[in-house]
Amino acid sequence: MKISTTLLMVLILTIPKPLLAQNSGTAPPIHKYWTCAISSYDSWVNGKHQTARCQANTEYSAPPCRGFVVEYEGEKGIRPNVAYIENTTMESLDGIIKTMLPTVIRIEINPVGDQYLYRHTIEQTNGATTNQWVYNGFCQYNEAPAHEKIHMDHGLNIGR
Amino acid sequence: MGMRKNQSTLTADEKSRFINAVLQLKANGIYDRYVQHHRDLFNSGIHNTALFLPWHREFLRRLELDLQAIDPSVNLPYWDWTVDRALTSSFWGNDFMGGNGVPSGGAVQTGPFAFSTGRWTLTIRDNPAARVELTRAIGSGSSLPTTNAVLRALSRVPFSSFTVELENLIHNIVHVWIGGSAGTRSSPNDPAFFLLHCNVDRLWAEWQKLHPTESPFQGDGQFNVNSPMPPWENEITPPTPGRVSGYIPMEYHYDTDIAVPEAIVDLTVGAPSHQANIGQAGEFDWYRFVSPVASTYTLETQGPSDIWMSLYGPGSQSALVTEDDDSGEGSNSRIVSNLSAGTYFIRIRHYQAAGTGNYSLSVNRNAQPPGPAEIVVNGPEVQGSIAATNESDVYLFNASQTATYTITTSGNTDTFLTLNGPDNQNAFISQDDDSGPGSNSQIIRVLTPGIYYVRIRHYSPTGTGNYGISVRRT
Repeated sequence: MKISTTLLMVLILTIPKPLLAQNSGTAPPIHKYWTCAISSYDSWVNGKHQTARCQANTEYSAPPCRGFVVEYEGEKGIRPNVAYIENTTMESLDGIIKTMLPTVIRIEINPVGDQYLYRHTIEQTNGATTNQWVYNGFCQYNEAPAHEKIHMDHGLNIGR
Repeated sequence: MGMRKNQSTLTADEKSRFINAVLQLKANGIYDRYVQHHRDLFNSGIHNTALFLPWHREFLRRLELDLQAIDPSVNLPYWDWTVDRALTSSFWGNDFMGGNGVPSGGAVQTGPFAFSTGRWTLTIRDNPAARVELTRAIGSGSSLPTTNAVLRALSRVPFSSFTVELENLIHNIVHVWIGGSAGTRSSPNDPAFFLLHCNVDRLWAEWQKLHPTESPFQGDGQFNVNSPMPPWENEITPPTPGRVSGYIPMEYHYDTDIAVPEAIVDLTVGAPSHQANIGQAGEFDWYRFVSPVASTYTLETQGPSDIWMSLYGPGSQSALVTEDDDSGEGSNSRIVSNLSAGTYFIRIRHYQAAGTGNYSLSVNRNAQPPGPAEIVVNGPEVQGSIAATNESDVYLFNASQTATYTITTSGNTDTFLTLNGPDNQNAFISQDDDSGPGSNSQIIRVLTPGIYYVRIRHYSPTGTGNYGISVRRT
């Protein structure tokens, strides 16, 4: 699924270096973070809907079915029930058009029952057409000493 | 040279020795260094680049050597997942890798690597929150690659196509199939990693045999054949793809190699041709010779077989000097190369992977353009003449072994002899006027192997006359 692979490169693989996570503020001793994994993904591109499910989320799985880290704190951290929204411009994710398009990124991690559900939506407007990609998954909340490195890719399309 | 066997053919004792060595390596902390190297380099060049196969070959070989330091009888086994595909396979038995996670995706509860044994705690992990137990989710994430998929990958040429398909469509799928710890950057935490990768390494070796005219490695713009591989790049002789692209020089082989490598046969420069044959498909014959002095040498095969010859050295069985297919007569190989003094290795194989046949091999030092004539040690006396005033004649002889050598002139001429060497016409050793019979010269010296130079002149600058000269080894 071409569009999904393209998008994953934006979502996950663009920041391949090990993440030395940090808290906001003055060096708190605890690093709060999510480890998340995509379970399914959908796209609506030029009126066509495609959907797929992930069988597994390993470092060897084909994108986007991999595990990744999302920060909990900080300006771009994600807290439960508080959506992260970013208005930006990005190269078209349809894999064809290489122009920069207005793009809205929305990331939510919300508790449902005993789980945290991950939902990552990207909307791109190209004239009268709006294309959308949605990634659904699950997250687990973690805390670790702030100095410990995390050797996973970062899930957001925003560096830190 | 150790043989890597299919794990399904290991005896109970071989399995036990392998497991015990792995557990000892874990206990002394060395095993975790491997886990850490793999984790830290996961996205820094060892995957999805040209380094994938060479890096993992070096990685496995180093672990194997560490295991052998504990138990010299241990060799890495390989897991052929196209055959042993079921969770009920002995591979996942309690005496070997142990079973699946309980529940699937959870901690392994059986076998030597179960957390409950107290001997297998995952100290190196992708993130601090990851489980300290070895976990597996066997079969839940993918289906194992089939024989056809492996054969399809093996058919790909060139190397760049083969390695991409082997990594992404074969190797990755097996990691995902095991799941759990084997699906993380710290995947060597699951010892099955090494048996999985041993089979990947074997498939690279098989590919090389199937495509003998293809380069065994190709760079990709980021890494080339001489790129030092991390994390060993600061070693005095860091491993490079070029150094590991042939596995037999790394002193292991696989039970699927049709012919077990034969012992190295020593050749002598200038000796008559050595008769040999490639008796089985895929056979490699190895030879060794000493180049006593920097010079041009010709290595040549003769006979009816289509031979492929590779020359390695000096002093290394893996540093390729050059290769040749058909520069000799017919389909024979011929290498003409300027070599420094040292030990060289020749590898002979049939051009066709399935080919067999007889051949002969010789190594000769090329005739040196205008230079000293040679005196054969213990050979006939050489006759010479000082025909003009101030003339001096220079000869060389080859001291093939450490011994006492006697250089003597004969005749009625009052000769004066100078001995230089080894391998250097200007390195003075000795000189003599009249120690021989009458006015002849004689030098008796213990010499080490090398080429020595003898200069003869008349004692008198204006003298002339005939003489004989000989060299005797006693």
